[in-house]
Amino acid sequence: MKELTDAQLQSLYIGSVNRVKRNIDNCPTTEDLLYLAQKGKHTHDSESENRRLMLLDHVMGCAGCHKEWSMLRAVEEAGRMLELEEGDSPLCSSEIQGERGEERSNIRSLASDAKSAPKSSLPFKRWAYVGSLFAACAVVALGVKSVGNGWGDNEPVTRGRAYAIELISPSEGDLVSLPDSIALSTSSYVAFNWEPIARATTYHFEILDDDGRTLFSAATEQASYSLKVGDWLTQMQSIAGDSDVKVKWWVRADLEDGTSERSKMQSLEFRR
Amino acid sequence: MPLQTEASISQEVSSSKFEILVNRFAAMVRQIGWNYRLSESDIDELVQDVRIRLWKAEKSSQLSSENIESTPASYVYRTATTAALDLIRRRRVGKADQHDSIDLVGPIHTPGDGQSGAAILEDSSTPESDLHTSEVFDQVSAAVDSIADSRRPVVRMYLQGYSREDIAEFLGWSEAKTRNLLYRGLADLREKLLERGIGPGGIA
Repeated sequence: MKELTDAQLQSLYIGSVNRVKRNIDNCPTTEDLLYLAQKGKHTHDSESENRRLMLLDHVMGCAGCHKEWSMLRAVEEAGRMLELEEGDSPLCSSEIQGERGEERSNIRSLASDAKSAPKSSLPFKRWAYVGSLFAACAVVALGVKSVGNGWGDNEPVTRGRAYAIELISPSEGDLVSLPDSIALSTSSYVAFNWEPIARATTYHFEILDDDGRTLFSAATEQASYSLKVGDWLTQMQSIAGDSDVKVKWWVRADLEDGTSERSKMQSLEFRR
Repeated sequence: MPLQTEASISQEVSSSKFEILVNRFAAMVRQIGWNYRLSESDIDELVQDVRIRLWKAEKSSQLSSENIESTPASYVYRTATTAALDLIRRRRVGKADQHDSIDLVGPIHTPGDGQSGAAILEDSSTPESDLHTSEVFDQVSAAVDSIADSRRPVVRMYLQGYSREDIAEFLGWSEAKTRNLLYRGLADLREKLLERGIGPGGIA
């Protein structure tokens, strides 16, 4: 008998989690989130494990807590990697309780993974599921015109390494006018294009809102993605009703050798 | 005396002995943050906060103590943890009166089989279909909540996109224990969804 696939379950679950209105009074404290994020702090008694599982149950079902926990986990893992590389043993041993040998071995492995294979099996894995469903469809040109720098004015002071993937269109700060009619929108697409790079196996395309939340993501083997306007209008209505929406978009590429490259983020405004 | 901007603070930190460490830490956080789907703006904000804290500590001579100088990576690590906690606290306070939700987030597309989660729901948006979608998500949420306590956290983690291996490693469990709880939990969920009329063929 056919049953819902894991991916379908994941899609339904993510949708349900993101709908829940957060009540911070019911959420764990920041200290609890930190406790859950810090691997070396945990003991293996049943009380400790129950506490962890209760916290985990909440965090994995609460979009807000999950985002916060993810930040703490990233800091935790990066901090441990840094300590390991620097050999900060005195403070390290007093700060982080736990099985040091095993811990350091795990950190080494983690550090190695992060350097060589950023597309690890963590949450991003589900990106790989998304097929290039609409890639072959006709692209209807929509009114795209530049409206200035927009968010580009607030370029952060610090930046990481240079971006290997160059975004082509829509350009920074472009305005995309969407049709009012749902009927028309179902056959319309917005084309996103970027420069292909050598040895890329898959490109992951993502649209984020101002808070960095993912509004849309897809994977494709092409250096372009055609966003179905009908689908996007549904998103827009759920996010902002009939108002205009400012978003950012970017692309990450998985390379043949297991590493990845990425583009910078570019702003875009959808106007009704 | 002119006000010191964050940019000038950053400039000064850049010239400090912590520059290389902070830059390496920032690169690591970015790399790991990708896996956790952290937004670039969040990471930028955090890294900038760490720089400012280090700059202030340096100005107040806190960094001159022998203990801290001997363990600079740990100091950056602790500073970053405190900065992340403060960032989260600030946002919580700021959003206490707001709803922190989006109705539909992310693609409801699925691999391989050609049928997406969205296809299970509706193809186009109307007030009726939005209401229907909302009801389906409520049903999914209720179905997950009804899974046994011992299985539910593992199922939630898996449905958030973590692999079985990640879950086992994170919880410190054996692969067999994780697999057992996960598969039983997913079977429970499918059954409970079917009871609610949600199956591979759509919504009953």
